[in-house]
Amino acid sequence: MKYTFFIFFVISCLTTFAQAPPGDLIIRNGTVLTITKGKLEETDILIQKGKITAIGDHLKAPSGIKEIDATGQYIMPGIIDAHSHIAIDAVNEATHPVTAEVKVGDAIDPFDLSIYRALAGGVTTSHAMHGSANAIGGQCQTIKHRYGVLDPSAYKFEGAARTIKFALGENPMRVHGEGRGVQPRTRMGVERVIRDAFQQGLIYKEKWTTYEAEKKKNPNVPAPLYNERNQTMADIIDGKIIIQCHSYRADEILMLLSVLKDFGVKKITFQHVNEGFKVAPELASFGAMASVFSDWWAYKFEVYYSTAYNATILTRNGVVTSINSDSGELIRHLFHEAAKTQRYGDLSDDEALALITINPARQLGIDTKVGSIETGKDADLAIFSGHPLSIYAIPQITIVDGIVRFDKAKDPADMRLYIDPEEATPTYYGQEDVDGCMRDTEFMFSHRH
Amino acid sequence: MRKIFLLPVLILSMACLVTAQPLDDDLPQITGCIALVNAKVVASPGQAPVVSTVVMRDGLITQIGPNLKIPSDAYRIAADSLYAYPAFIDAFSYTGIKEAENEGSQGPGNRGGQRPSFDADGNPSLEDAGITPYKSVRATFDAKEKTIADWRAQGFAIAHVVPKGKMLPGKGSVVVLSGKEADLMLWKEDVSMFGQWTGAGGGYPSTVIGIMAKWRELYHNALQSVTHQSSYDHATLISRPKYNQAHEALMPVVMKEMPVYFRAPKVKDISRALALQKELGMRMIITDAEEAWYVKDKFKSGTIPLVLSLDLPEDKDEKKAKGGEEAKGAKEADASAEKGTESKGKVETKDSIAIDSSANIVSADTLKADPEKEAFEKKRAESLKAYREQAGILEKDGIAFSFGTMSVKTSDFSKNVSTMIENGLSTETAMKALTTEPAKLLGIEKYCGTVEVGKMANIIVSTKPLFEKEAAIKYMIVEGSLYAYEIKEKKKAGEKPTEASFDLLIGTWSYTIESPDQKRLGTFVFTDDVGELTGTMSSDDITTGIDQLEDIVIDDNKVSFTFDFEMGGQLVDLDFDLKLNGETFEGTVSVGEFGSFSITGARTAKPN
Repeated sequence: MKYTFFIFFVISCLTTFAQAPPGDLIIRNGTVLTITKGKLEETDILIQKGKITAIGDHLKAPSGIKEIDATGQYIMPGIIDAHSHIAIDAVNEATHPVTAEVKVGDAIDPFDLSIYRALAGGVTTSHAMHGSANAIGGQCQTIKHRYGVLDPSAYKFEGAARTIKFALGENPMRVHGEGRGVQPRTRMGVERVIRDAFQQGLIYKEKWTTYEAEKKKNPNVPAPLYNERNQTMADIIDGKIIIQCHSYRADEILMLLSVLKDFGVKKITFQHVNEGFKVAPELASFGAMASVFSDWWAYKFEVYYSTAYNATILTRNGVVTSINSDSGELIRHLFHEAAKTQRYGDLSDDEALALITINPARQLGIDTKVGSIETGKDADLAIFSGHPLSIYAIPQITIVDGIVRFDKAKDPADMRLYIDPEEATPTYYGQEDVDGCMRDTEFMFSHRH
Repeated sequence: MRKIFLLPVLILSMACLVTAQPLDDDLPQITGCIALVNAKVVASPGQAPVVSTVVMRDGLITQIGPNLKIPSDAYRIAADSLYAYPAFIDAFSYTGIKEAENEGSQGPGNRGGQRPSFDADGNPSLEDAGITPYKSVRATFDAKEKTIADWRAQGFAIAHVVPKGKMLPGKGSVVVLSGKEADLMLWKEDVSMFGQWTGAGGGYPSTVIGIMAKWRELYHNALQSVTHQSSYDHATLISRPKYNQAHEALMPVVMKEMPVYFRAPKVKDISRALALQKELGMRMIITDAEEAWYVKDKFKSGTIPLVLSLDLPEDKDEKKAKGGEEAKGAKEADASAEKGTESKGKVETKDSIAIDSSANIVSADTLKADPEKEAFEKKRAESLKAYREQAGILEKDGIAFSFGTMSVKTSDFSKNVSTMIENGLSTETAMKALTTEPAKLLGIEKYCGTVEVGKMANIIVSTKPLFEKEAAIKYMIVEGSLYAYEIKEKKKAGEKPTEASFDLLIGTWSYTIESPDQKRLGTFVFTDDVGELTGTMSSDDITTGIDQLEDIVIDDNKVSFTFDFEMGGQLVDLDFDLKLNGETFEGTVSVGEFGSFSITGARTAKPN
């Protein structure tokens, strides 16, 4: 059958280097930017079964293993995007201010071309997030960019921390307050909605604790009504989920920190956090992390007070900081975004690269697996023609689990894996939503009170 | 939108020369006994035809064999040259289901009708959320629905029908497609639960992620309800279980007594339904599948039965090619160039268009000029082929499947099965998917699916072996009721109607389409363009401008044509079927899976 053949052909293009056994590879003689252990010149990396098994000079490799000559090239850990909305078919379940129970991992789109586009920029992992329509949005999904695999569940990053989207400020106010005439209409309302949701979670948790205790005495005692939303809030209180909060203004950031203190919640990464530079010491002392844009602001009122020094100020204050894309286009030049911190703030090479590697890995609870080049870690690597912080560097090869998923030398013109035979002839392949955060919310504005 | 398309002229003119028209909706049944004398009987899929006589009495097959003594009270059908097959069983359909009120309000953005109301927690009612597993299909099944007679005319005697709705529309039943009232037609009630990825529009859950979360919660609570109820029945000091009609209705599902028929046309729909099944563990049947070949390995074990869609994607190229052969000429080529559906090259080479009389020659030229477009079209053609090969590929891999008619138009049914057969599906497996497989799936194989003594008298009598070119159904016997069809020569596709018949149509017509939320008004203009019938359509309330009508066919007082437009990158078709009564007309317009609506109109101006 021709079509199946065609799919296999594309996949085989993706995996040219990784013939049996898959995930075995040796990269010779490159400049290795380990991030955590400095720069290693003229070094080999041995990969077996998708893991880095040795790093060193003139490594011995099993015979027949595929070899990549990286002489004169730079190898860095696969870039990690802490905030994106690619590879998912549903971003916002915008019909309620609190939708803690929904999971974007249920809507993975293995055919999204953005995955390949991200690979072309050296990005091997991204954090596919629920949007910012709701004060408490849905649970997010950390994915590995295994483009070519058709099973959606195969994109899930095994062992990644559970994360959930919160959103402060204008977006939830607009969608629910303005759009539907319900709380929250103001920033005060956003706080109220979040406090109420936590309170519901506490009450729910107590009900079930009582039930479990009762059950030991009487095995027939009926269980309380199961509620996915409250259960998720209880899981946050129990520290099982890291909050990822869309935020801009310093006052609302401090507001959320005080809410979290009241409910004993400790794990949080603030997203966007444009005024983070104003409250960097407070974030550091709380243990909160930050994921920012390099220099993107003024696209709405609450984002005017911003600076390109944000990442540097946060880093210098000891906040674990990452730079994210929030865009299917920006995702492919995150290395440029990181480099801007050297222009605005003089971060060192390792500090700048940490913003798109080990730091986002910490924020997503995957730092023991990816984010640096170390023996035992996943072989998620990006090979560049020059130093990735140089504007002249071009991504050459991107490797996920030891499998080459992007190779600039073998880059077909059309990488679609799914072709709708009724689709009109496109003028270009794949369309990008720039404001991914508010996808699937348009209909909320069609009727106003 | 999934739509069917017109096959090229070649196939049309060969395969569809004959068409069956019902002689009479209600042929008076004089006797309860029918004898089909000396028919070539294909008793079950794959068997060779054997000349036999089949005697049926009171809805059952009572005797089969050569040289039978025919009962004296039997209504005899001389079937010497005819073939007899077990009638089809539809594994999954909306046959006989009335359009739901406010049917137009599906999907985000289209609230059509009332805004959902919310409770104190901001959640919509079960009804507004589309969570109605307690509904039985019986409430919306109507014996007078036209679809019953339409599908019977295509060879169907039994159908598994489900209610319309959103994420959990309700319970399906098995019906016999013959009878004057719903109760007589209902055979097995509430045999299945229907699920799909259809959000509640303006309310929760509106997306696939909301639907998933809701399924988890409902399933969990239904399980708890089962336990609670059991404790209440058997232990003491247990509070009375609170009644919740959704949880109550889902109890047989979580007890794995009732299967969930999950509608999953696209591959991602299938993957998500399978993930849900894996997580919750319900009995699931994947239905209306159009793209199952992507994940065929998941069906090899046979634990998840599969019902394939009979719909096939429309081939724009073939359609355009057909348009070209009908020589609509430069005018249409210009129009489509403006729409940008063909290629920009066309606008620049306007001179050559004036010379070329057919659109397909133009597109062949532009293909050469644009290698990127050529590569794109090649991929599109490969993809199109994959849909046609689906059934054949599954067959080769030994994966059993049934067919369901939910997404296919009656007029495309036999054409699409033939296309699948041309693309690798064996006739035997096609027959199985329409008889014995759905019988097994629905647990009715003891009663029907083959022509055997003791089985229900459900028989197709056709002029040629089924799915062969020029085969047409002459009689349908459904539980012993006889339906006869007139075999009529159809005009060859492309054959020009007489100029005289043009006069019936040319001029300006106003129309009114009755869509559920509002009336849509507009105008058709038909012209005699130097021996070619052309037409345009404009709408009073949608600013699509004026656009060309395609495939205009006039046959006596019947007129059909289509109108294409692009919506979100997809080609959407409006198919019109009108009956002219002098200066007025009435008929239907079907808009793919959105259903069909009635249309009326009157001529407002005639040319001199």
